[in-house]
Amino acid sequence: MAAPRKPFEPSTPEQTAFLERAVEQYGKATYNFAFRLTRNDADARDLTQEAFIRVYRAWRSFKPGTSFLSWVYRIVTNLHRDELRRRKGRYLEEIPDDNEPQAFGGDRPLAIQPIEEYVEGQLSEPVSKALDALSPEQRRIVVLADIEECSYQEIAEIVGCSIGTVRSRLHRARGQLRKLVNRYMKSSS
Amino acid sequence: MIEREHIAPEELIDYVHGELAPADDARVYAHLSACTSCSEAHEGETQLTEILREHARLSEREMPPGLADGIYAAIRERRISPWHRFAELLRPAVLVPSAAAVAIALYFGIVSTQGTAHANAIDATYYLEDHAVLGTTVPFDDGSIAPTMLTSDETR
Repeated sequence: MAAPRKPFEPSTPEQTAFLERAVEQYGKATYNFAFRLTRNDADARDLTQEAFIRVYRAWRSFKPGTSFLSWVYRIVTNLHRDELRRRKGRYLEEIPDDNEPQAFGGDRPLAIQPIEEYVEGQLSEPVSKALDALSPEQRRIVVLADIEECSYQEIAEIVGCSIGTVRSRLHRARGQLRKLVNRYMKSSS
Repeated sequence: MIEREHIAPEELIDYVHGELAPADDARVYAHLSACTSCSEAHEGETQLTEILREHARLSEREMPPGLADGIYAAIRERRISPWHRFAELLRPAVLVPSAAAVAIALYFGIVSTQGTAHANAIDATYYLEDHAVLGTTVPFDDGSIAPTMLTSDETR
């Protein structure tokens, strides 16, 4: 990841302790979040490393009593977005027009079949492929809303948009996801 | 009373995520208990979320070994060393204005020092008192030759 490599001041013991505690407690969650956004280990590592460097540099701006994860997710999200812009030629970030009519998956009943049928291997591949096929913007919203269980308000703060935008993007992303999961399930059966 | 109109898919998604206002939440809840079609749609939305969470649980990864050390190493690498501080001072953006400031300070320092020395060497009161008095009372009384300009003035 081509991030600006600005040098910074020597650390204080409090700053070092803050960083170590943050890495220890939230390193795994941050890495998993980064992996879910990037869908590959190398980028997830880079993103996690860069995010904690930002945490270290801006440690004084963290407000005690607020959610550290929301803060670090916002950093990861911004870094990921910047990285996608840098790689514009390789990944085209699709930002849906929120005024467009919502496209829900035609094969709506993903339901009815019990989840137990899709355990492990059966479930994993179609969902994994479907998540890969989503645009980064859609994946970000789905990961935050459905996996990280963030509220719309939290997502809006992390992603930097309005609650209305979160809502419309989530609706669209889930419609798309449902369609994709059904498609990959059919093709794998 | 149960509404005849079905719940919109968007509203159902908000309901699944607990994002509806209490009154709307209650209305959707009541409707779902009486409408098979919406209830199935709701089940589909709930299941999609459960599938995603299950997938996330199954694919959860441990933090890769060495990542934490990599973070600490990257921070050490980027920390400012004494040499870096010195090198920063030698950057043209810092050096040129600093040199200019020093040069200006030196110039004004020298000028002001010289000015002060001159003022100290000849006391201003000399002009107002001693010199003026001497000039009017005993001009050229020290035996010096009077300037020609003055003598010609006398002859005029």
